[in-house]
Amino acid sequence: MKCKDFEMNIYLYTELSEEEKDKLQEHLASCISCHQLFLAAQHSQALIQKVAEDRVVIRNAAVLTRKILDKTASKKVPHRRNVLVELFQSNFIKYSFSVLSLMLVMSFTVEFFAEPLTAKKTEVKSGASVVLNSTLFQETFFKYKERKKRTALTACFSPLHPSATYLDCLKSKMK
Amino acid sequence: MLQEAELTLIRKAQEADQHAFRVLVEFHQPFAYSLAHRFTGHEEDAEDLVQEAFIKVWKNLGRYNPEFRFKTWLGKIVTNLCLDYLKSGKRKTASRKSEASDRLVMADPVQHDREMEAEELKNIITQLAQQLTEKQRAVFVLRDLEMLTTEEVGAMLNMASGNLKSNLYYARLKIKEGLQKYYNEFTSGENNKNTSSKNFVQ
Repeated sequence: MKCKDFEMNIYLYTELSEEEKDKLQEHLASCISCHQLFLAAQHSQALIQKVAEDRVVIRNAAVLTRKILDKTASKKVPHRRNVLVELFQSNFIKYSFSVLSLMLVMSFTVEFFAEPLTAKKTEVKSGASVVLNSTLFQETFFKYKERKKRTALTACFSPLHPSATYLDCLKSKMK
Repeated sequence: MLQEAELTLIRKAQEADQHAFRVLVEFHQPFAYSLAHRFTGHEEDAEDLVQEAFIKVWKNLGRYNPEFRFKTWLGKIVTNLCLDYLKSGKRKTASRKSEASDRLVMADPVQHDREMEAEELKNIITQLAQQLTEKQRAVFVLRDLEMLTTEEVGAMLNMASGNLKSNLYYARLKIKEGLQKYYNEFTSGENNKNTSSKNFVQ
């Protein structure tokens, strides 16, 4: 450390920790100019201390007290703090409200800059869908009929039975 | 005064108990006066400011926060009033030397010299303090002249430790330079006179 770094500590010697004082003393032991500055600063502090110890005393304390009390007697009576006011002045409430307001501001900001929501419109073609549905129904119906016919043909077919019996069987199955 | 006893007095004073307020005034008046006198260097000004400070205290007792000591609160009020007063330029220009010499009725010349010396030193430091900036002066008066702790000074001035130290450093530096300058001029000008004031520089 350079002499310049110690200059502030020389003047603030009374404010230093023991560790800082030791460091400064180490430097002072090896630096004549800083040591001289330290002595001058200490001398100045001693003079200030002298003035500080010479307490300022009021010459007529009783008169001054009387003047103060006379003036305060005519003033408005002080009121005790309202409980509600105290509650709202407490740090917890203050911080809670500030956090809440911050959150509100943030949510409004986010809402303001966010993309607007758009509803997706589905194209409705009512006529076409009816046609489509009836076609589908017809297809399914015809497939069903075809399957039923095939099943009936398979079930009634037999080389041992006469053709009249085969036709009767088919008629009854197709009903 | 014990903090609990002080709090009881403050609560009573809040209920408009004049006797409780009187006890508070009597107890804290010397501190308030000393502080005001250190700032202004004038008795009458200091008395006016102390009166004003206690009236302010009375009016605002309802707002007193028991987390802080009463002395700290009062000190803050007095300091602010003094700084406002010094800024306003209403300062009285009456000679402080005459005030001081009025009180120095000494039979013993050696004692008289010593008293004069102390009074002179006090005047020089008061004058040098008036050349400091507002913050430097406040820190210097509270910490070095009123000998309050760093924590008390910080609380009174709402000042962080680093800021306080920086202001104190510049205040001490300027006061030291002022004292050196004054006594160098004094010794060169008054070389023939064998006054005890020379001791300050030699």
